[in-house]
Amino acid sequence: MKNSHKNSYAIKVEHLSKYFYLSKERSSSVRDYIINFFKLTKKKKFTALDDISFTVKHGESLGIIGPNGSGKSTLLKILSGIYHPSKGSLKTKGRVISFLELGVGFNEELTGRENIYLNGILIGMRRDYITEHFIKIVEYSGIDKQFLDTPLKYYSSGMKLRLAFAVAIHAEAEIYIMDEVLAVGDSQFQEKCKTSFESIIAAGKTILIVSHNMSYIGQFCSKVLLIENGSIKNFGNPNDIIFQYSTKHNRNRSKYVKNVGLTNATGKLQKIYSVDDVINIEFEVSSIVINKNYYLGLSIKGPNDNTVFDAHMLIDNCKPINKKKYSLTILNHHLRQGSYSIDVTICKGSLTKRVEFIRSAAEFEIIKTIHSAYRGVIDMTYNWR
Amino acid sequence: MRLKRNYIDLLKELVKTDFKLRYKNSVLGLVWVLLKPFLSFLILYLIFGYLFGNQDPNYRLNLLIGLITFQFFTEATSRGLAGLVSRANILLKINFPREIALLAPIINAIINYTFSLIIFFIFWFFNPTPLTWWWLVAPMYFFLLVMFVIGFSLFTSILYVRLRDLETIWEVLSTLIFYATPIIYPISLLPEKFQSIILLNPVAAIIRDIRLILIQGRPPGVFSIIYVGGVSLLMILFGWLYFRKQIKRVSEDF
Repeated sequence: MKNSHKNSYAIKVEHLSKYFYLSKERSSSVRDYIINFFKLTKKKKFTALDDISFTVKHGESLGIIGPNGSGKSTLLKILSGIYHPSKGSLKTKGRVISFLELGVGFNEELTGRENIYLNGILIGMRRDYITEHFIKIVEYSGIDKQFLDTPLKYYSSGMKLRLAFAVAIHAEAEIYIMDEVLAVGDSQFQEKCKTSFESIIAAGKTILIVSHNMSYIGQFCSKVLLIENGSIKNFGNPNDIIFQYSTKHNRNRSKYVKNVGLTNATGKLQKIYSVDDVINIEFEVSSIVINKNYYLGLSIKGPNDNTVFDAHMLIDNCKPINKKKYSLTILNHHLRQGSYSIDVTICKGSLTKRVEFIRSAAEFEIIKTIHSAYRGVIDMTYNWR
Repeated sequence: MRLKRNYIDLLKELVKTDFKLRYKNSVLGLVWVLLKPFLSFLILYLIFGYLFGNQDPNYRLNLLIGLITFQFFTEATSRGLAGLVSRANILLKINFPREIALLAPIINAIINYTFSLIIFFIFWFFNPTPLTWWWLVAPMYFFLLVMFVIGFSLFTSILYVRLRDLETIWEVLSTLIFYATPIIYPISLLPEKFQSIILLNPVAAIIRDIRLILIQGRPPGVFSIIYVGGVSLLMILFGWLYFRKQIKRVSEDF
């Protein structure tokens, strides 16, 4: 009996489809409502998920990846029971707990203590269970006990996140469903989150994560599901799929910007830099975008996908090095040791109309210095007195 | 079993949160729970007491019980109507029986009603009416009213997701129903034909029977109980069926 339980599925999705019906004018007032009712306007059918089938066994951790709008969130909402499938079936074995967001129900007017109870009960804990684990939750969050009876509105955003994560991590279930909630707080707290997450995996729980952070997926997931345009593109070994996905989405697909590379002061390609090196980000811009009011943006991302730096320019205002080749020279990068990546954005007309986005178009590393024991991303210039 | 237990915890927590938030940051705080119905009674009494007070020796008690019962009705229906929409942020993230989101504000209205009853009994103490065994029937009427309100909210909360005019419509309509219900004026003021039409409104019938029991100490008519009971139970039955059928689709429209 026990054996069969071990080998059996935790989540089984069979031929699941989800359609949304979009009426052109959404009827949200009486007038529209009546008009639409009598006109019987044909609604546009939109297929968000198309015939999805997969099985997750007990103790497995599945990462779901895919571009924005591919249907990941819809799938997650169906798995959490918020949406109902239009077709097909979904079966789960064991208690499911889902974190589509941290700190659901948090109320600014209530105190930290009251919010722990409210949020905990909302995500499925019993009241006496929270009382039992209350001290542990507070200790985990690292919030000073004196703030417990202060309304949440006086908390910093970091404190709120830590509190929310602390409650979440103490929930007990067999199946965990999460949407990008892995990394919160400062680096110290993130380490704690990672450790807790590893222990959930070690405890043989079933986990389902949606994330854009490929390093997390690679680190924690035993299987990966790649979704594109509402259907399954690939399902299986994380390394292969992540590689396939990131190469496809980063290099080949780019239409406007190509060959992003990093060179040192002498113009040689280089990946590793020291604290006082000059970094050139070089890239080729396709002729389609020249003289057409396009903006190019480069952002440097540090650990955990946080943007450290971001610069934009109107391509037409810039003189290229040669025909199509442009560059951004960073004279003093002020970065501390660690790995960084560069995202490229192309916008048309204004900075809000994005036409292309290349995640991790290039990567580089800053090597250790005398300050190697120091934490943080930025190496500020400072004086002690 | 474990799950069921949590849903009761959840309902309690939502009720508690609503209650706490209501008077948070107000100086008088909980006192308002008593003061508010008392003040609205006082206003109406000062204005209409002169008009109708002479004909009815128990005008004060009649007005008070009628007013707080109707206030319960408006509070519970308007908050029940907004029950799903006002918690959309939670409902879009967490799965639990959606009925809980409706029951929480209605239970809060019940709590407010019981506080208002304190005012009624203070007035009753100084001007007592006969205390009879029929008083035991009065809570049943309130129970039926609660059933009616829950059924009503099961319907309207779903409709309100797609039709946001409903809140305003109901606000206006409930004011109309208030004046169409003999609360500040005696029903005898109306022509007889009109009286039976007015009493088709279950809230008016419930208020009339509660007054009959508490103020006059007389039993309500059997036919009236059957009518009020039937309407309330049908309301909650069809409300629940409608809710069950629609709730699966409605979360996409929040």
